[in-house]
Amino acid sequence: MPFESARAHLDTSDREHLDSLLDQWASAGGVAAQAAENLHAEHGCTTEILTNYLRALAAARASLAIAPPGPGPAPAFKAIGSPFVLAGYVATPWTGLVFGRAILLEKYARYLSRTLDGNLSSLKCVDDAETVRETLRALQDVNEADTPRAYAVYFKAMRLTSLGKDAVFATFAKLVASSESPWPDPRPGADKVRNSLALGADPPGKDYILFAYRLPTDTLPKVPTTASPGWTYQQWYRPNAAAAAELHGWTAPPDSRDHPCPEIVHSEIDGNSLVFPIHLALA
Amino acid sequence: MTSVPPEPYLAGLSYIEGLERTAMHDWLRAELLDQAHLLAGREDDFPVQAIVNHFPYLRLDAQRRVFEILDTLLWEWKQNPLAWPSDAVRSLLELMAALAVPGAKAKLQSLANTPQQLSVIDESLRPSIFRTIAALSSNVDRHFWIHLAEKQPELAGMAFQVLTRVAPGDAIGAIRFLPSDEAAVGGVARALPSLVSGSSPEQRDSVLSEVLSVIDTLPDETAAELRLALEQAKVLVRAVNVPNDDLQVQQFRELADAFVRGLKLVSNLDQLYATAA
Repeated sequence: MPFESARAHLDTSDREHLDSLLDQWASAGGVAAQAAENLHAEHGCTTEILTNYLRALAAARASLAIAPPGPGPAPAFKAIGSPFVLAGYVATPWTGLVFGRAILLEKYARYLSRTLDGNLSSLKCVDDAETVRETLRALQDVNEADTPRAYAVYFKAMRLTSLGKDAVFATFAKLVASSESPWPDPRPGADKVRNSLALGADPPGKDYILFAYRLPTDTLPKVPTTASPGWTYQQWYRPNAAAAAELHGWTAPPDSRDHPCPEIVHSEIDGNSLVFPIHLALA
Repeated sequence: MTSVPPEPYLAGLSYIEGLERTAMHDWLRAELLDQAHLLAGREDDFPVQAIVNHFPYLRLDAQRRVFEILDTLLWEWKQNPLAWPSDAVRSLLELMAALAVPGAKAKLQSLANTPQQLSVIDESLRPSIFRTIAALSSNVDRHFWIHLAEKQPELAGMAFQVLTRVAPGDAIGAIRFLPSDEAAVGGVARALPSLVSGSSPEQRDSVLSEVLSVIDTLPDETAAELRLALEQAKVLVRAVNVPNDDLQVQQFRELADAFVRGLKLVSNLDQLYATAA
């Protein structure tokens, strides 16, 4: 087990501190227990990297301790995990694929509005929030070339807008040609997307925008590690025991009637490599 | 409070509900400044969505406290706008819009109507300020938007979009004052098709006729842009008299059909038109 190998590389005091921390997490239950379990099952990176990660956790045990009431050691876990978020194996076989990312429509509309505001002089668009949301709805399944001229600015804005913050998780379809969209046709409903991608922190009953995109050549897809999802998402994240061979993770749908989806993680990128049209998964 | 909170939100809800006023102020301010991320889903996001997700499940007293703190933070920002990073202000304004914070609209309208106050605020934040006012607007605010369209041409498009929802009759009139400003014309062009197609079937022709007569009074370039918007959304089909151009017409119609299928009508227009009638 990579965890045991990495743990064995720690010096005695680090090992004791780590054990003490993980024991505390395990007995706390909930997210903390799942985080401990995820670390034990980590297979997404080399032993050397995992050793360094475990050493960092051990050294920061005081700030990672569970001290209810409160939402847990989320900020410390994120800060300590930061160097390891994208430290997983390079997901080499999948670099050329079209990746997929689902974002709540209302959330992405806010992202897009910030782009529109911040680039007002070049984009010339100051739409109100409802118009932004309705325009995104109107653009579903519409090719850029077929879009009325007044909407062209939205494509420009989407290309400038980040597809996520910090570590960006993306899915892909393993058994399709490299040019194909990761989203099945007909499009899945919002509940199915939320469940199959394990987007547990999103409230149920909301629409998603489904993006398809390629990664820029200087952005490598990586196998997610336990550090990648941050603290609260530990409860929906499960390490892939076959990650070293498969070179990707698997989502863990809370409702097992949906199949897990392959997933990778990459650094923040804008939407310049989006493959239009956008799609919607409706609630 | 809304039904049973999703399990992932419980820790965050318990934390927020346990905060006294000062502690809640410090926490919310830290969230907006991106210095804290304590809620489920917050770690890889701006602060707004996670707070919006949790808010409906808070106890009423905690909801009221969140409103009060946001109001205080708005005051603090207005007192010292240069001390706040733009992203934090955008988050504050987006949050006030999403949670419909009582009193926020009036305060922001007052800011918008006070040039000396507005002049010290980063210009790139103005769309966010007006977007928040827009999200909280109703029919009683129609004069604010009509006035804004006349006074600030670059925001005339947004004003038109709001008017199509809160006062459709006034929206048509506002087109008359539309400046030849790319941002304003674009904003109107994006909302105009739904203004027409959102009217009740028996009134659609008369609304379209009224819109066209107003468009005819505009400068040629602006009028052409708005007519094109209506044509491309198939609200207005131009008579094509080129006999050998059937394929082109067919392609245009298919294109327009595809677009209209994706166009969701503004939900409350029928009701507003019915009331007006």
